[in-house]
Amino acid sequence: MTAALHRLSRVRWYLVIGIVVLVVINGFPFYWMALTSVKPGTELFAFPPRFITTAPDFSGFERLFETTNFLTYAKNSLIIATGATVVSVVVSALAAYGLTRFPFPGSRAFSTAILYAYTFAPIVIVVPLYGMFREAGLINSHLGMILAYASFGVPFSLWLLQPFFRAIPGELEEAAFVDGANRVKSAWYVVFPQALPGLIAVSVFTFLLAWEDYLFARVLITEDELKTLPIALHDLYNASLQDWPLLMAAAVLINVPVLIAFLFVQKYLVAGWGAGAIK
Amino acid sequence: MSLTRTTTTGAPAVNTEPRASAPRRRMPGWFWGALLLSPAFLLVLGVIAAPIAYLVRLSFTDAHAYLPKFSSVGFDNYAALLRAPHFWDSVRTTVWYAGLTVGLQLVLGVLIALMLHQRFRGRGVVRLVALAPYMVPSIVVALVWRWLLDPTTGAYSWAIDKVWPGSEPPNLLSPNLIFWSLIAVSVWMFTPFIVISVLARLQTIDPSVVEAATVDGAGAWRRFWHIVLPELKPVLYTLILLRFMFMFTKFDVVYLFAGTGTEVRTLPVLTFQRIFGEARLGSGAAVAMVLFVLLLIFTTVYLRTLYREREETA
Repeated sequence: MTAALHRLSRVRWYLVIGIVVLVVINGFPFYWMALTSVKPGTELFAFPPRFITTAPDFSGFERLFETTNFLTYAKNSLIIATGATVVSVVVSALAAYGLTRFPFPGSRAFSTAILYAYTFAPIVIVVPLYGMFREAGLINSHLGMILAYASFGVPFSLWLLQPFFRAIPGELEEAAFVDGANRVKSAWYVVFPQALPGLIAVSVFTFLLAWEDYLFARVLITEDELKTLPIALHDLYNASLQDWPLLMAAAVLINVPVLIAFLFVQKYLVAGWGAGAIK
Repeated sequence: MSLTRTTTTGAPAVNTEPRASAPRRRMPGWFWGALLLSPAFLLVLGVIAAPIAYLVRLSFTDAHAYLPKFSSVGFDNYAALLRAPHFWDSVRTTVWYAGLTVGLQLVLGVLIALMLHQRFRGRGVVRLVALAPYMVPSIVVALVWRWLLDPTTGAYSWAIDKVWPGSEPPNLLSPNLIFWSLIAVSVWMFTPFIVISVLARLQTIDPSVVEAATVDGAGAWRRFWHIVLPELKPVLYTLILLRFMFMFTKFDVVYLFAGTGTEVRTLPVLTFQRIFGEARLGSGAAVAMVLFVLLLIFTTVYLRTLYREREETA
């Protein structure tokens, strides 16, 4: 009895230390980022560093909006990420429905091919894509970026969605047919709501994929008015201003949609990831 | 809408017919399957398959980013690569980078997943913090860590000074050490992928088996080694392959955090530099082709492992 109790308390002790270390190592950089964004200049390079600030100073944010086109970049990022998400989710939901409800010769091969596409690295694609987009006049266009990110989202989304669609029993749909629904209605009212957790998970993944990408945006966008946030932030850093409050203010704001997406759909995210990412 | 009309001919009568579950169709099922699949097919074909074909062609030419015309040079680009010492340096750097980061991610990821699998107060919040680094754009990760590790003003110098007062903290962003800092930052950023995947798998292990072992007197280590680890093994194999592929071709965080110095010039960075630094499209395409062929091999092995795992668990 005491031995068991002793063992239990020892395990708990390791657990507590482990969790504290994890939270500090993972959390501190975020805290430091947020803190730096509101640090007054006098505290910025203080040594020893200040770990809290008594007089938060929002001038970093002010400079960000006054001296850079931050809102334009944010708008570009939002348009591109939303567009890519809509295209990718619609396309992959249709395909997942097709694959699970109307298997046809070659649909299995297509599934495998999609998996190959899922493992494709952006760096391999970006070289020829640059050449092709240049010839097609898609450089510096929202449409080009949306198509590029959507096609990167599709293989992953389709792979992740298939188990969700497969898990929906065919009887459910047949019941809807008996009630007089046609296939479109039954898909819309019966099948898609059932697959909602999967659809939400892939929407979030695709949005984040487009929101945080650096490589494609760097290569396929050259005009300042069309830049996305990651590119803009890197260029601000390279402009050698090294205005850390301004840079960290931008970093904080870039994370806002990420955080919202994360908090809202955490439940679906884990379920979706568990169901699709590996298996 | 056209789908409506063709799938259920004579729709109004459907209600009276119990066999409505098999409505008379003008088109066979495979037609609808192919139709629903075609947008996905076209998108993947257009933005992934076609570029690969174009890449193969480019890699045999002397294409230049700012000159419209190019001519075929046969295998010259590849021959030049194989002869260039810096190409082999890049291969070595890439293998080390991928190998080290994957190994560390795996060990830490499993440990953290086991920890987060325990029941404790505030677990939801801790899980959120544990996964956060993976969700953040790589430019943010790169900048925040450059700011933290800044040799003169970073919080890191202060921490070193606290632990060893008066010591001169090494400059972690210097060419000597940047590779190792990059390893640390990459592990920090990508370990959550392992955590969440292992966590999902842990949840499928029958808790009564673990409980029974506890009652039989098996300690935590023995329970892990004999019950949990065998359950995790298949998922760990696929994770190793998948993460290795991803780290092998990782560009963003490598370039943004560490730049293009020879210490960190992995194959993806070399590709980027060839194309967008030196404008040598053909030569860069050859490097990308090397990556492509390696990916093809990895993916084939990955899929085999994945299907085998599926058969075992089914």
